[in-house]
Amino acid sequence: MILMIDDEERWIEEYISELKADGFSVNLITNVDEIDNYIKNNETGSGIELIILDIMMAPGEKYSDKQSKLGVVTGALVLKDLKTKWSNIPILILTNKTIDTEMESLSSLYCAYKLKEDTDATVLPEIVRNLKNTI
Amino acid sequence: MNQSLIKFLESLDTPGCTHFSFCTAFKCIMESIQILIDYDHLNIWLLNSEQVISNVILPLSLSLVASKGEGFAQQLESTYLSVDNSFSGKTVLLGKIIRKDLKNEDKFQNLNMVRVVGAKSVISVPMFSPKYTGDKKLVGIINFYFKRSCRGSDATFEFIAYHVSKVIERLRLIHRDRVTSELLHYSANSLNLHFEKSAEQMLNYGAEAVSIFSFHRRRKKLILVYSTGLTNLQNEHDEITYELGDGLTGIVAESLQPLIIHDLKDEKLANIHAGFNIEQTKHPIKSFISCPIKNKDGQLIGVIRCVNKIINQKYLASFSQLDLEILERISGILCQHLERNRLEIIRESLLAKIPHDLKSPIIGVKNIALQIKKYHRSGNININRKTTDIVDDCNLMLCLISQIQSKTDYSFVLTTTKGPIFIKLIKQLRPFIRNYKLKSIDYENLDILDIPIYVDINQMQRLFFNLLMNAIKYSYPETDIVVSAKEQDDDFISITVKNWGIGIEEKYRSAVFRPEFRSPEAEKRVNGTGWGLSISKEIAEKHGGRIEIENLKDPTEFSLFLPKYLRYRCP
Repeated sequence: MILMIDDEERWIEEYISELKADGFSVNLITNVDEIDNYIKNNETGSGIELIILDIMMAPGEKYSDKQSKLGVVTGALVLKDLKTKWSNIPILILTNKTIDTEMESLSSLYCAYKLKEDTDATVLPEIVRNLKNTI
Repeated sequence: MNQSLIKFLESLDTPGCTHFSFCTAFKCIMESIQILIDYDHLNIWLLNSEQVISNVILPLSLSLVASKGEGFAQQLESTYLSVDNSFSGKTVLLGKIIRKDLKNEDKFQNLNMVRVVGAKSVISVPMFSPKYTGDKKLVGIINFYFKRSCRGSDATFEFIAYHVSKVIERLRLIHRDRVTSELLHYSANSLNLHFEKSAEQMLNYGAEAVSIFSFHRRRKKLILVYSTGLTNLQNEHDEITYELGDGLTGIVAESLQPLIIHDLKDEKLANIHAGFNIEQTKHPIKSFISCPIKNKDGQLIGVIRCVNKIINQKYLASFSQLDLEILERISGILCQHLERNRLEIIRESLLAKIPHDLKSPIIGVKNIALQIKKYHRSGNININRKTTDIVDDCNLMLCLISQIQSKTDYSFVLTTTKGPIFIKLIKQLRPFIRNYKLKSIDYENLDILDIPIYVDINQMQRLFFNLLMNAIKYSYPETDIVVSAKEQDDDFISITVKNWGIGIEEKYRSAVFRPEFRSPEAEKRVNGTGWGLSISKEIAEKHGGRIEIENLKDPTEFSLFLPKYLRYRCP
């Protein structure tokens, strides 16, 4: 199963439908505050093959405006939190935000950084399959 | 020429070279040169056009950045030398090099290698920037000292100087990158510095501890942003957020009491004023003085609070009055910095969010079009062509939004960019080809750039976009545009954009790089601002590269030269 964390549900519909058409099952979290609950129900992260994570998201109650730079780097905070819980699950960053020095410094925590504008929905399943094979 | 020397010096200029600081790099250089040339003493001086040493700005000075060997100790006593000082004693050789006309930077490029050979030999070699932007600029000087006659050839020493200068150039780029990223955090750091200074001032006035809180407007919370001297009040660190209004207890509640005595729940925060109170219950007796930090509209943006020692309770009132005045002054200063910091965060988030929010729906449309193409192959050529057009137009819009982003974001941050950024841009601009009735954009050899490249991605896209758009706008209909890349023999890769169109007159060859310059022919033909090439030139130079006009007309040829070392990820 692929866990997708992205707050723009409408704009990722096509990504999800393409993944599903390719035989993947996809769970979507659109609010970062739901992540803690999700982790609580699945401490070990079993069944999750890959996490696809967005960077620019609303910080919710969980992160302060300052930490998340008003939501600009929320994903970086989520990334760090996820890695402390589920250190073995690979994470693919799929975002509209070009990579900056902060995300580059966290590169050991994710397996690939993809821009949505360069990653068409129709090619995402192939990228995911390739990632799974290399991991 | 000593082959092992060549091999070594070249190794310094490869991705394996992970030396961050000038000092470690020079240490490595000197130790390795020692193996190859048996010098007794070596020192390396770097020219600074403007460098701050011990808070003094030294215009045009040579600073000693590295020195190794014995017998020239007195030279090391001063770590820098002002260029227009006269030199004496053992530094006389340095004096010879720079005596020519030290005040004139332009004449630095005429410096030559100086060789004094006798019972003791001294060889001074100027280092110049390696083939950099066409100008030969003095970077520094290397001095070699020998206790005996030295037989090494001039070429060897010049060769060493050339390679060391290359290392310096590479280090300079890494260094500048670091400075830039530090600048990005400038506001946050300077804010901390201001907190520290303000607190220090209060400590000087006898405060025992100082805390500074920032007020979170939406959540109505005071957040501890800085504290010092809280040895007895360590428990304050346990909980860094305090709800205003309800639930204030203990030390925090009492010390903030003067501030919050007015009804905080009723948005009367603006009425908060500075005040003090005494804690009688604990021993020794302490007084707490708090002062709100307000912005120019009178809104609460934070609180500064001091715990004061009370020597004699009788004098408390007058002491505290003095402290209050100081605190109010300090809070006024802090207010400016807090506000600036807040605005900076808002500005940065807007810069990031506007392009993000514009791109999201476009990516949505593009993906829908791609799915239509994939699942609804109707055999109707028109529909297939139209969906391709939608995808192309979406790509163009994404490209134009990135252009807006790079035009409003002045930061310069080098990151490792993976993927063929140049090919991507060429494809994105396809709709323009049709719009301007051109035949096509062809590209050759661009795959030599299709490896991670260390650039500011936004700025580099802007540069390339400018070059391509110029080619598109000034081409004649039914002509081609050709983009090609080439590994140059020297330290550069070139990317050339060729087009067949109105061309450039010889008299405007250098003028086209001037801001706001537009030739009369260009003015007649298409709209423009005349900024594109001057900005592109600046971006190229920031990356250690340059832009040149290779040919004026038929075809008009612009080449972008980028240093090869940008292709390696600097650690």
